[in-house]
Amino acid sequence: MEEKTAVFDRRQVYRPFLERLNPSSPSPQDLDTIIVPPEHDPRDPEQPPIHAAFATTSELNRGTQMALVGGIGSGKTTELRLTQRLLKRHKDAVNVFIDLADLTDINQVNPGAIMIAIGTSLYSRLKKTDRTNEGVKAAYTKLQELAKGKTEWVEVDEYDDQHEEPDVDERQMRPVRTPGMLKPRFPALKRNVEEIQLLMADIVAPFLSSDSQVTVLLDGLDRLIQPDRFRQFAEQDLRALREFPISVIVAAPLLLWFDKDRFLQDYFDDVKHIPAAISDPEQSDFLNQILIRRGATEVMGGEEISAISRASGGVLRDLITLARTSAEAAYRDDKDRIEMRHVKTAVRQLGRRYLLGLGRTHRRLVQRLLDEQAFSFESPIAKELLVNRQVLEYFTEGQESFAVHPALADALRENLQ
Amino acid sequence: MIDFDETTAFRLFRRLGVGQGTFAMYLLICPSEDWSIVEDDLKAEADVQLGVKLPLNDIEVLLREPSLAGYCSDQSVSAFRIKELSHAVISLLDTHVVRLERSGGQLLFLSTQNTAEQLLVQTPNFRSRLTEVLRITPDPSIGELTA
Repeated sequence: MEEKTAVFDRRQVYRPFLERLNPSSPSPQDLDTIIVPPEHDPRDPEQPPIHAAFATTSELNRGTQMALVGGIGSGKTTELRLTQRLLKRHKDAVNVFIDLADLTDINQVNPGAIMIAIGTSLYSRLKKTDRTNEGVKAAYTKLQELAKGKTEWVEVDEYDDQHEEPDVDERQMRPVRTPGMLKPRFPALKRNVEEIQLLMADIVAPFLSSDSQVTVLLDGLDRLIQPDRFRQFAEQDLRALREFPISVIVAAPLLLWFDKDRFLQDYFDDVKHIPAAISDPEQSDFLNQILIRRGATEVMGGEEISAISRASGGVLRDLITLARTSAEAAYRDDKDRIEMRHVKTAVRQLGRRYLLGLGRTHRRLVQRLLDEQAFSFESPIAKELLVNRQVLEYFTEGQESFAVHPALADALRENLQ
Repeated sequence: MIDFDETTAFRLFRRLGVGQGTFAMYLLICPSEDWSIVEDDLKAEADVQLGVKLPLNDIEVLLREPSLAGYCSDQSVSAFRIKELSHAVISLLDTHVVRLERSGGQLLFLSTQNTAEQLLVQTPNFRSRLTEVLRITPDPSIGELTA
């Protein structure tokens, strides 16, 4: 009889860890198993975590509109998902999570498109009996037409292109506008947005008649290439939604948080900001816990875990990237555990990525921040550094502060040598 | 010029083998004159190490795909050439990067140094989600190995 011998396969050491580091958006199962929910608001340890605050507001004050801002990879989608999960504690809760980028090119869409997306999603959550209601069905069909466009056969009028003579001699009339004394806070709703608002009224009517708690969680608008477009969506689509007792929680571009106009704070009923997390494990073990929950102790020691946390600068996605690259480096090196040199390789790789695109002015601002801890986010280049996460914003003990991403700081030092 | 770590198709696919089944995106930098050799290397290693046929297309093919995630999830590994940047490509890779992420597959993007630098500056969301940026060189031929 042939004797069976177990063959050591190093892939099996790292594969389970890499699978738990899978960076795509957390699934509902992940929320229960590998996600470490924050214990408090990142800006105020006395306050509940953002998802708990959002859920409570949505439950008690229907129709509230809330915004969530944070840099790339700061955990906005996870907070939205945690909010959604918490809202499920009430049976009558109707919660809709929409990533708009899944549905359309958000850089190209016009006002009204977001309401169409929300209306379509809410329609799919209606009971079958409500969906067969004539008014609801007609409103949904019209929304679909607006979303996808339609082709109609119309009779060709051969005189169509000829200009009719006006009844009144227009030369004698000219408009004279006297500006109003009160300047409206927001521009008027466009006609097509008002039309969609009426259709929405029909679609949400069954929810409202049953007194349901409806919350829409909108992800994706924070990735708009031109953040100003977010303002347009808010002033049109979200404002039209204010007609209904539907709560909205939306991920917004980070730059608007630093905008002098304070549009976010003016428009939304509540705005929460996720700064970079505290990356020093001696001050907070939040980042270490994220790695430990994903099985880090099976493949590396405490020192390596803490080194990864520190080098991430508190950017959650970078934490995951560093852990992953360290694991791959150890595997390539034929080692069964991640060692400090593998972590250093990963940090170097990440730092070089952040070096890209740093022009002379960028470098001057970064160097000034490193040397003098001075940074002003007023200039477009400073804003670029913030958006690209080369400079990170922190909030500790009631103070906003900025720091160069630790991996970039290392890469700059290496670059100078 | 920023000196990213160097790899070859052989070494890259060894890594992809460990992470099989999890989402990953690699930006591979290579001078355009080496592209055809590197592309052949990538296809050969996909076949030998993972037993799969590697689809390799221009990135613009994704612009025509209504179900972007569906296109990528049909394959465990897909490769795309990024020859030049357009507004549509930037929007695809940055604003809609989550659609690529949801594919769950392993995606390789082949680009030149110049295009890669421009791309990374203009796509912060894509940059943040990249597993790694690597310089890829042609695999040494057997003659070179034994020499």
